[in-house]
Amino acid sequence: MTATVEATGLGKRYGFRRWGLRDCSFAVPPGSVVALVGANGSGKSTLLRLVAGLTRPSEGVVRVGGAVPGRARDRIAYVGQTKPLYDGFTVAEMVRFGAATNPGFDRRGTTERLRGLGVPLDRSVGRISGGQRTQVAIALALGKRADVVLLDEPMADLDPLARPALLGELMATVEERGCTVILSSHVLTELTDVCDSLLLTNEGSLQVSGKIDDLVGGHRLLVGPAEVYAGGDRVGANPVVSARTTERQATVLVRWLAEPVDPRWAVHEVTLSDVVLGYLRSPAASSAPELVAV
Amino acid sequence: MSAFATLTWLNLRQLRGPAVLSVLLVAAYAAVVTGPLRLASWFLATADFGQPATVVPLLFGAGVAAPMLAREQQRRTIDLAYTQSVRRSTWLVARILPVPVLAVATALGVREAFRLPPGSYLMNTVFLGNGPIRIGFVLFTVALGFCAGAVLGRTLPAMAATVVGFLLIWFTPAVPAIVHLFVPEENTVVGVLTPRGVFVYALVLYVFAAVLLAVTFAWMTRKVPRS
Repeated sequence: MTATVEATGLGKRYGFRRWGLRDCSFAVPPGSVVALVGANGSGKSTLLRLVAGLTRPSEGVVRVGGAVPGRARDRIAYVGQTKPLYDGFTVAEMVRFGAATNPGFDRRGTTERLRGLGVPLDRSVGRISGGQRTQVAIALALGKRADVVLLDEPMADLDPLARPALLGELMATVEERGCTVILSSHVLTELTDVCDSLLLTNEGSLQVSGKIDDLVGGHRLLVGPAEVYAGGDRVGANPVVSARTTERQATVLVRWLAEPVDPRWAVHEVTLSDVVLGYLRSPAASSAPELVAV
Repeated sequence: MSAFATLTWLNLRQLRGPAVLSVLLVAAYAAVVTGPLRLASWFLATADFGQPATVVPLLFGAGVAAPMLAREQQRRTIDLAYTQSVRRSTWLVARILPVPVLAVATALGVREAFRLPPGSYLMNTVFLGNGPIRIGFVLFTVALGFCAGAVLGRTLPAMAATVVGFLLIWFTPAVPAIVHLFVPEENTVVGVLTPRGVFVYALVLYVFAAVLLAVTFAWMTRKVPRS
């Protein structure tokens, strides 16, 4: 019950010229929990829809467990950004829909989970709150017992109490079944606790991919007087990701190769947010080749 | 229950609204037939637009079929359906099938309503003994609605296209012209057709419906969702 998600040169073009995503290559090993981050419109949803088989790549391939997504539908669960559900159905009927359309569906477990979350099973889906709607959509996806679970902005409608609960539940599912989870989100701080890998899209290309631990350990924030930093793409031998300078001070995010720098720099450890924001600020900073293998 | 049966049951459940509407429609026509004469004269005053021959196809084609596949795309529930294990075509058949069944059942129900005493004189203004053609119009319009909903992907344009398509077929001599190709000796005015003419006329409509449904299937399984 494991599957690797692999993409090679994956691209999606809308119309004749606009690329939603381009030249995207990565491999997600089974059992990973991957955070997919990036600015609005940077290609996160496109990437998830390509993996879910909802849209065909314009170039490149994506494979789930060695098969194209269209042939691995029973191994992939997907929850779209708008949490689409049939508004005419009650919650219980929605669960029944999941059971009817998926051979391995865990109907009892899903019903129990929703009951535990306080979702009214006999109310129609169109009349429950946005947060409950999200819970139903995610419960359906988890109930499918898929190997790869794709969640597009799953936490956007959830209250601050429900978010960690959902993440905890995801983690429990991963541990129980060894499935892979890819979730897109803007909420970086919450992702650090549960996700082990990061995919960062920026302006339609995959800019960073790697283990979160490696990314955090492999970058440093250098703070020094403005005259030390004269631009350039390296500080010492450490490649610069992005730099911000004021009249007096320069703050530079570098990929840390443990090379010596001018002693006037103060070297700081980074958080995941520092890394992500640093890359988002400079779309041109190419993802380091050694980071590509997740 | 098999997956297909459960799906069909769930989709039937989503058609509760149209089912109630169809019962009301049959009841309304029954009232026209059996009720006071004033009702019957109102009905006759509506001319074509109160006839079951136009009301039933438009109700199920533009009112039920067209919004169904358009709304699937507009509300993105198509994403939900297409990411389950079931094949796209299986899901689609289960989704589509209940609508023509309900529409034909309604048409038959309305016909029975017109057979209630003492309405036989109205019966002649309505069915003209051309049952297969009436059913043909119902199936054609329903198929047109599905096709428009699938291709246009938006509710109101799909409904409008279905109404326009129905009116074109209803008021232009396109179908009679085709019938004339096959049976040149027939007078192709509905009402004076021989059984053979009725058969050919209905067959043309069934073929139209089949083609439209094939386009719907191809479009829904290959072109949708479009982003």
